[in-house]
Amino acid sequence: MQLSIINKSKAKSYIRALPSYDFESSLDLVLTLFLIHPSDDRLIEMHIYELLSDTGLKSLDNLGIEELAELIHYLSTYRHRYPTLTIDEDKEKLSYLLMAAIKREDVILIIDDDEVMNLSKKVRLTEDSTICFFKRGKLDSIDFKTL
Amino acid sequence: MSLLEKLMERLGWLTQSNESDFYQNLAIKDLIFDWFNNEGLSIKEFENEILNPSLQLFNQKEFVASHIESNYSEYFDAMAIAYLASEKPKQEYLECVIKYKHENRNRNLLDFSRIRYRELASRPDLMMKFKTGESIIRAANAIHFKYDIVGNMNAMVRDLQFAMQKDHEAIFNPLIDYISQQDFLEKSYILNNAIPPSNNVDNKFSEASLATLKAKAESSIENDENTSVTKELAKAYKDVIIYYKELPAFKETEFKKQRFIGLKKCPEVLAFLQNFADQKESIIDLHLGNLNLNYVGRNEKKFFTEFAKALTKQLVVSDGKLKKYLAHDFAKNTEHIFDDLMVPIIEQSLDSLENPDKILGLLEQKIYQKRERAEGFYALKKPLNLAGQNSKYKDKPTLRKIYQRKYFGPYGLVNPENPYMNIILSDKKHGDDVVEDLQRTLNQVYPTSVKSISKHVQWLANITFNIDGKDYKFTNEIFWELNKVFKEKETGLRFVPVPISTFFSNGHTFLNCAYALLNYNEFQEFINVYLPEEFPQLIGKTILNEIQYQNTTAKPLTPVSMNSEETEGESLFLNDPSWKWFKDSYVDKLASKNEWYSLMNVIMKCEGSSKVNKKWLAEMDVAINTIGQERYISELGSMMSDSLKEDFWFIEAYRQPVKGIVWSCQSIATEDALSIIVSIVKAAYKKIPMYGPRSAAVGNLGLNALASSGNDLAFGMMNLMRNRSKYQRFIKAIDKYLEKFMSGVEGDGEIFADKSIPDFGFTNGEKKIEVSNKFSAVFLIKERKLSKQWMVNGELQRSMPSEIKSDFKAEEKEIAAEFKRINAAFKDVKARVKTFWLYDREWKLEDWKSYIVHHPLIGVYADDMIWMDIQNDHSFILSDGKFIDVEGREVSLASDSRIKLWHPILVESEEVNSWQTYIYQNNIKQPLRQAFREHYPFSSTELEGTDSMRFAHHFLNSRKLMAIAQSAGWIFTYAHQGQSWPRRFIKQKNMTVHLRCDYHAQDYATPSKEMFFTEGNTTKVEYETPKDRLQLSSIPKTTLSECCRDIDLFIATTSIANDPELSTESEDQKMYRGDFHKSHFSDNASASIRKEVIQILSPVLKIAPSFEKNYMIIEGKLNTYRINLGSGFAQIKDSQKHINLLPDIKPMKSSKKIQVPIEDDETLYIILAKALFLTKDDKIKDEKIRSMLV
Repeated sequence: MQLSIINKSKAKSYIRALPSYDFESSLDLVLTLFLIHPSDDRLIEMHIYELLSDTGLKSLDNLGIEELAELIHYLSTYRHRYPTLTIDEDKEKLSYLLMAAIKREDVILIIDDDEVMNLSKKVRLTEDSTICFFKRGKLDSIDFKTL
Repeated sequence: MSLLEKLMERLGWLTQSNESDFYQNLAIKDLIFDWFNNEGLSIKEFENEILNPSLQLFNQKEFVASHIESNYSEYFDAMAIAYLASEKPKQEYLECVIKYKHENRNRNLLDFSRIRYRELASRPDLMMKFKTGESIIRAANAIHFKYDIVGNMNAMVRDLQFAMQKDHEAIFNPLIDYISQQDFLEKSYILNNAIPPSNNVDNKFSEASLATLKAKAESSIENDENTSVTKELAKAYKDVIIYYKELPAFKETEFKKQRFIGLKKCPEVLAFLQNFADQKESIIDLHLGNLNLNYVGRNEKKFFTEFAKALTKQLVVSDGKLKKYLAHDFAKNTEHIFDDLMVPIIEQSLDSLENPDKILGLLEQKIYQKRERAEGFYALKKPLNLAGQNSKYKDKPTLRKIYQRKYFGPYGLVNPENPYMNIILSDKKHGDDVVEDLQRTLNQVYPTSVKSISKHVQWLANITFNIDGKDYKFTNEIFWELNKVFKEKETGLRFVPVPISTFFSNGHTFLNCAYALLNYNEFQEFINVYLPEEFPQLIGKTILNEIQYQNTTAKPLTPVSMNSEETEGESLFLNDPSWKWFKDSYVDKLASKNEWYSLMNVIMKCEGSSKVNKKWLAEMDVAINTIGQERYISELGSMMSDSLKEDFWFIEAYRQPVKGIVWSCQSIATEDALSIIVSIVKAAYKKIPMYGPRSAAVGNLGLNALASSGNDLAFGMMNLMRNRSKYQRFIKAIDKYLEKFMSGVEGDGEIFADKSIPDFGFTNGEKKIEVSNKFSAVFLIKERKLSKQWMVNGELQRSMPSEIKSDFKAEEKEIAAEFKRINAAFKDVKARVKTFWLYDREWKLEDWKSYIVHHPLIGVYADDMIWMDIQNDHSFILSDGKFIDVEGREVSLASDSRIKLWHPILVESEEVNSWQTYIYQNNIKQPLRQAFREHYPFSSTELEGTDSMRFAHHFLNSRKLMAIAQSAGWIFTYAHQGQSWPRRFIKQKNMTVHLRCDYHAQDYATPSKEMFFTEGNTTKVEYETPKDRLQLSSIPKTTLSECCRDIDLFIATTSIANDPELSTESEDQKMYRGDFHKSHFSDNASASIRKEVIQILSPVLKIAPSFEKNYMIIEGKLNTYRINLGSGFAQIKDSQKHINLLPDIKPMKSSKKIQVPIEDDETLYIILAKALFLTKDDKIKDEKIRSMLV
């Protein structure tokens, strides 16, 4: 396989066989993860869903093509009404926000078997590594009911 | 890919480069510029008037705009070419365009889908310009260049019909002009076919265009020198044949029954044939040009075959006419044209032709033109055989022999630059017949028989031949490998590829060939005389150079054709070389082997297709009596037990002998004889992945024999097979024959089945088989296991006495075979006991005692199980034949007792606890998990409804779900996305359970929705979701609980996320939702990872869980709980009672929303939230929930 580094100017063929890789710090890892995170298909789904609830429609099942086109036109025209749906594109900003949340202990960062306490320490990833960002606040939003 | 590799790839550090597109694009640009310049058209004008306005319209869509930005060239090329074709459709340029599309196979090159017609709706003039160009290109290809990629005749007709619509004159006029200026055989038919049916003209067509078309069509018929078709004939033919679907017979018959419509039901067609009886040759002309014959499917076959028969009856035609017929561009799938039309006409005319060989040669050419690849040749056997009657090389026997292989096969598809000579199997029956012909050929050299044909994809073969006593496994490259075998054996024969035609694909040239088995001299003649004359381009290629002969003096073989009959009617078992290996490996190991030689003779001569031939059966009876029925069955059992693992019993050639065996067992109909049939059925219905059962024909034959045996034991055996099997196709077949059996019997099927489970001669857990005065074999059932021991002079011992091995070898084999059969039945019985819950069985006391408790096999599994007397409301455990209650006291049962298998769902928790304590204290090992069985109570609210949402909104790995659902006896397959989900038909209760899932083929994970039940068998996937659902309160509790248990298993093993929000959103969006890619879900979704994470988080969250296997154990104040780390479901730890807690997730405040760069593991949050919830169980306010926690 031909490899080319991020600005596609050269080809290196040995990166593939690396057993592990060191990130300079947790910030470095977080930034890299944000950079490679694929653009969210869910954004489109969330748009559609918000629109549905906004217009009072129960589902898209019975919409005709013209009606759907109208809805989409509405969305693109009035996009400013849905600021919360705009995903922040600034990866650096997001990284810093997340690091701050980790420092505040709103988010717990777990890599392999440890909770990461020192954010400026080097992070080593191997083939089998696991990464988990645990949001404490999310637990508060879950309640239970029964039938 | 590992995490690191994924990172690297996404960063762009791992990419692939592709340079070849760049150079191909240059050639297209050259073509475009030449076309513009030479035809006097202005590129600037094109850009300003056509290209840019179009692109502006396309750019309105944002995602299209960005695509155009990075792929501008594609849009330019497609639109320029379409424009040029519409303005100046010059032949040489059209040819270039079409050649590029075909030879490059790069979809992005000249992709006309880049022209976005929807966006051009506001500029019809532009739209029509492009459409004209595209249509002309398609027409050019269909008429002149005939590359299938771009289009064919049918597409031309469709384009004309599209162009005939109102206001589309701008397309119609250039197109009709272009077509009528071309000179081609099918012109009149195309123009006629494009005219809509006479009774179908609504206002959608432009009157002017229609008139023009009709005029052109008529004039083309009149001016067409190729045919004598008149206007009237053309119209009449169109009405009855082209639009045959409009005939009353077809319109009034249901789709499924249309295949029975013949000419008798179509008086219009008969009238047509009568009116034009003197113009048959012209009708055939029209028929050959009928493009709708591309597809003559099952529903049309009878109609068209009879039509062709009527046309060709006694018809004799001249050379000239036949040549014209054969010049037609036939429809693609042409069995009808060849088999029903051309073959009869040519056969009937052969004797009166001036030059029959020329005609046969043309026929041959046509066959190879229409069937580009070898696998298609098998479909055209009839015309190929006819073409083989060509008298070429009549006086040169060797050359003729070689030449003839082209018509009889076997065929291969080879690359001449390689030595590998492969086989292409026919698509019917995956080539069994081809392989058997090959066996007959090889049999002339060495005694050969087919041992197995591995059922794989059509063109991959794994064939095992037994050649001269040794097994050889061959792969696809069988002829190359056979040549190696011949080399090893120093045989002077080799397989040689006889070339037929070439075709070009993916930059390589391939050769269709047939194989001839030639000796050295024949091979020399092939190289020196045949090839230079017929196929010089093969000379010197690797494939021929690799064929070497050491032995140059072998005699030639006489060829065996595909149609050769069995030459030996009286073949004796001993003299037939293809049975030699079977005799050596199996028959010679039997005790009465000499008597078996005569028995095999009779078996091999078995006659009868679906019913046994009485004369043969009488002969068989006589033969069996030479060794006695008991001996026969015993030895047959031993032979079958060994040989059923081989594949040869399931090959077509051995079908009759197998039938003979089955029928002989059916007529004897003892328990052992029926067991042999059962073992054959099971072997026949063994599933081969990606193919199906080994042989459904043999399996059904066996099942039919069992159903018709008249012995109730057969019914029991069939039920046992059904209980054990998870293979749906097998279950369906068994059900069919069970019904057949029951049609002659009264009463409840299940009770009848209980009654008919065979006991195999066991008493008190023991069965003795005498071998001699000194030795007996003893089968023992102890601790629910079947074991085999030996009685030597009255003393029992485990090890087999050595004398048995030396002096009683055959008997030992028979005993081993019987042991195997009984053991299999014994395991089936265990599966049957499990169904007592699912089917909610209950018995009268007497029936229960006779058929369950005292049955030597079932009784073993009834023991140590808890039963309940529902009439008198108490439960007891069956312990060594005694009935003991939970206090340990012996109890007696009243005569009016009704007995059921106890299940925790049926009783209160105290009773469950008591029985659990009893089992634990008395150290009882139950045969099936009962006292500690997972159970699923339903609240009264839930029971009032028809759906249960308790398992909803879990995202299940689709592939794993399919596997585990099938293995649990549910049906869930890949087909019918959107309407397919796991279902199970519970026959005895006549209801089907469904776990609805929103399955789509592209999803990595499928969200589960509600569970519901319907009446009857609704396992077939329909387009409408079943609306008539049963109320849950009408479902028996044990049935309901067992279904929930299965579903819990599915979720626990395949769940990736429990995400109600995502699940409900996507449900509303229906087909507009995106696919659930793997990237939507956390990579951490596994029990082991969650366990690790929870252990780290526990101190922070202030919980102190422990872990047992895949469960997290939580200590609350009221009780102890366990939560499954795969599904997130909670249970009371001791009683295994499922706690129905449904997550109620409120949206988080936007200020609290933190974006993270990887997907959340939703189930982890639910598990932890549940753990926190249950740790403080004494503080729960909801009464309903509290009541579940005790």
